[in-house]
Amino acid sequence: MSVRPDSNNKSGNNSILVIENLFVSYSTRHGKTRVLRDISLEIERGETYGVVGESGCGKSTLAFAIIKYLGRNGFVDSGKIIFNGEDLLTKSEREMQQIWGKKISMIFQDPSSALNPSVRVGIQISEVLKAQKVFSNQEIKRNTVSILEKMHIADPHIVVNSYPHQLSGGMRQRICIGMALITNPDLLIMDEPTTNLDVTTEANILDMIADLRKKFDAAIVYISHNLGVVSKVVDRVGVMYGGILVEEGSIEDIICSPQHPYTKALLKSIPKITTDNVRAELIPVSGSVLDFKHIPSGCVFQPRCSFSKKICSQAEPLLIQKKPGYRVRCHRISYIQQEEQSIDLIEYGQRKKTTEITIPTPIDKKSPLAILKLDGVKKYYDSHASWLALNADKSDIKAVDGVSFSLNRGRTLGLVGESGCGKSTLIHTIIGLEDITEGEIAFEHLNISQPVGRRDDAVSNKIQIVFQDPTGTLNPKKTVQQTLYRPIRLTGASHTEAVRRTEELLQAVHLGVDYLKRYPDQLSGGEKQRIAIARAFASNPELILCDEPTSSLDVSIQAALINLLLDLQAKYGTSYLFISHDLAVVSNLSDTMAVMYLGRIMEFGPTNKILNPPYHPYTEALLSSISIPDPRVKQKRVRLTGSIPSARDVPHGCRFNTRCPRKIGAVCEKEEPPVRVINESGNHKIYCHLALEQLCTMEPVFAHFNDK
Amino acid sequence: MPVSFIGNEKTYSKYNGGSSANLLIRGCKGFGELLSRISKSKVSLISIIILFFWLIMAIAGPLIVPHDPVVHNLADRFNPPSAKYLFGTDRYGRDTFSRIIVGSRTVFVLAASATAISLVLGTIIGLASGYFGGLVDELVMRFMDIIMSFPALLIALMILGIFGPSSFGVIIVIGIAFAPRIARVARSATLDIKTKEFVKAARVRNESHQYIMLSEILPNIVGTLGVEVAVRFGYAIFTSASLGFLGLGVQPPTPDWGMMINEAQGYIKTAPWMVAFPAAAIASLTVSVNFLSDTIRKLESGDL
Repeated sequence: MSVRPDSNNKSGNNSILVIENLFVSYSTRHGKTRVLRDISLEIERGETYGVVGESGCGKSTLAFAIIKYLGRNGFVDSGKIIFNGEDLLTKSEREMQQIWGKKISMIFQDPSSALNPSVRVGIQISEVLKAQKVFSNQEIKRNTVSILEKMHIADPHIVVNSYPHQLSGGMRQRICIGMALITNPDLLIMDEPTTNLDVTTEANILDMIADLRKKFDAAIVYISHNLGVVSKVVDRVGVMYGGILVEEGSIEDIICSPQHPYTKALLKSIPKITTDNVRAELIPVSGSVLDFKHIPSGCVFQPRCSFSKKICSQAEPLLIQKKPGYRVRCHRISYIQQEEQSIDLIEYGQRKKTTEITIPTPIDKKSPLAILKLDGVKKYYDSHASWLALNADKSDIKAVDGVSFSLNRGRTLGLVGESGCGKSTLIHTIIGLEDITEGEIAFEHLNISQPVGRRDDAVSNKIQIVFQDPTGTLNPKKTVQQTLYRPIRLTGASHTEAVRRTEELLQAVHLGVDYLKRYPDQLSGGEKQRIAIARAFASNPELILCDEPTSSLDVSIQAALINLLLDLQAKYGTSYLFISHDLAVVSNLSDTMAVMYLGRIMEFGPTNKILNPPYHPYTEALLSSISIPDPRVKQKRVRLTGSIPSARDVPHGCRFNTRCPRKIGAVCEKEEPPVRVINESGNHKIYCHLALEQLCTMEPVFAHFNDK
Repeated sequence: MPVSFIGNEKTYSKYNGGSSANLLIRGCKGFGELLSRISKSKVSLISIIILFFWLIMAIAGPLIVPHDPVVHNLADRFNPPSAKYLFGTDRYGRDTFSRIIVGSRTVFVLAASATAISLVLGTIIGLASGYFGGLVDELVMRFMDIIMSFPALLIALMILGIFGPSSFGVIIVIGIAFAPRIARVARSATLDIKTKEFVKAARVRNESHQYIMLSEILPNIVGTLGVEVAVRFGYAIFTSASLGFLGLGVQPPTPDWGMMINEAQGYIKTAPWMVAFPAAAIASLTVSVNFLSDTIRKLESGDL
């Protein structure tokens, strides 16, 4: 442990929060589990400090330890938490109540459960002020409105009288942040505040947080698994792994020249957007996140570290201060520095070519190039309004409203859009879980516009799906063996053949045969998704629909799954339709991309064409909202206001006109946008009223600082 | 700040490694761990001991009782509890203790068979109704509501009044009267599981409805049903004892707890032991069964 010089004198003045050698554990059914070990950090007044790491590395525990709210089974074993010069650990609950909400505020991941659904938001905000008992009613009202204004809320007088369910997720999170800041706290802890939000909303919230730092003097502890997000708002970052701070420094240090192997690995696993025609290789962090029940001896990261030597498993490395404001905990630091000096690890859009995917020649010449063809597919839901509700809105919900595209054999089509744009409904309609309202879906030569129950077994075997939620995707009462064996048997394989194929599939998704007897609750999220992928491949499908299979996983695991999907595609020649809200992920996987908004395709074309101008204004905004973990990349700032309109009440004319930053005028509100074919081969299409010449004058969203 | 930390424990128990028979109770590796978890709650442990005691009595009771429970012994009428007659004797001089012990078999046979019938009926109805949904679901469940709107005892009185008292009748009547409640629980659990991705995955590979219901959904609602069945078992004991009391169940001279209370009601002042001990037996069994259902629920949810 490095001893900080003059920490005793200075902490009173400069630092708002000092944590010294903090150890925290939880008592569980299996005994005591130590979760935080030897955490020491210092946060200065007005500073924004980021805490990053994979899920399950103790980030949230640290947050709850700071506010002394660990719950019944959490204990601080030793250490000090000095806030404003006072040790919080010696305070009673009654004394802490004077600090919670007033001096230290906290914001959680889920804004919908943080607000009381049955109380108007204005009243909820003013309750915070009432508890202080120093404000008059007049002042409370004024303060409530003014805090909403500071949170960039457009009509605070209307919002004050709304219930939480009437507001969008982004608005609710703004209100939560406003509630936390209204008392002018000294410290604000944000635990993944934007993780549940759409990229476009996230970008707006991050802009707001950056702006807040000018208006309020609160120090912020920003917890996130996403280095890209953190890099947009914080000054300094602490990287955590296995309940230990492994590296700490300024955001530039951590992102541009990381030293610790874990930080390097994390950065390498983040999907990058490459605007040229090659895929950036993703390098996953090997192994799985540390299990707190079996903490390895020596360095916690050593089992997953590619640089580990004998010493790493023998002695625990110390957090050593390398230069002012920069600390790292690794035995092999000098060696790693020598080794990789010349390689700029995370150069934006690392240009390393992956293996070209060979397109398998069609088995017989008759089978067409396009494996999947959609023609004007519509899916409307009845509004289900009771006939008793006389004035209820009975218009249909237009989830998918006329989508046409085709996907070529052995290729990947990436479909992006914000949540609620109908992309999941579209996939469910293609696979036949939902019946189609209008239009036609063709698979090879066959019309498959009927629901799955009425499709031929041979057809349903050839189209499979991988779902988003790893917890629901496997039957908790079935072993991996049972889960994989059944779909193989359904293809008509014999018992011995099926057993052999089961093991083969397990190997194909890089899991050992010892997984056969495991139940889903003995698997991690990433392993569950691997099994789900194996299950999808069990019937030798030709098309796999991927419904955001990686979006609920950590980046490090996501990278491994993306690589796996690419490997399997190269091996079996399967076609993918991959949907995600994450443009970076999709651009890493797909040959062709489609951008969807409110049930309709806005732009369609080869991936490199989509990522470069000319853009559809919506694509431009999406690209601009992505958080890129590289301070050297300049991103054009295009922000969308408001939230995606209801699919019940689709705007007239161009459906994007209500939020479009490049709206021309009345024509956008009246007429459906024409298709603009950009290139000669006709495979890049933009649906917009802007003239082709105007589209072509757009500047690229990304620029390297070096380029200028 | 409303923060719950109950979640932590579950997070860490996620990887308990090794293959296991965790089919019934979440994350339980074997009988040993099950027992150690149960013994954390004294109430659960005591109620399970009581339940096992009665179960053993129901099986082996006739072999170990000190006196014949049926033979009249008019010399020893209305004897108070003593060393010879632990719980005293009744108006025919039969040993109350022996009659209670042997009577436990009647209770178990009636209540368990009735519960089994309601379980099978209720699960089939609830599972199918929840799985198919729509109009079928609506009609079936409203019919279940109609059955439920009559108290079980009233239905039993009506039917047994028409067809005459018999233990077979008691089983059938209770079985049918309790089925709607189990059906309701099975249905709501099915509605929850039905939306899970693994069910969709089964539909995508064109599995039959029967396979999806029995192989994908049923194993996942067993735990929820277990809690409900334990509750129903407790009620079934009570209802069968009530019917015995009304003389509609097992016919004399076969010992039955409800009937014993009925026979004793005229002598409640002179021979209170005749009422007290059978009543205590019913109470001990119903209460411990109810605690057992609570225990199952806690084990399911990971609270124990």
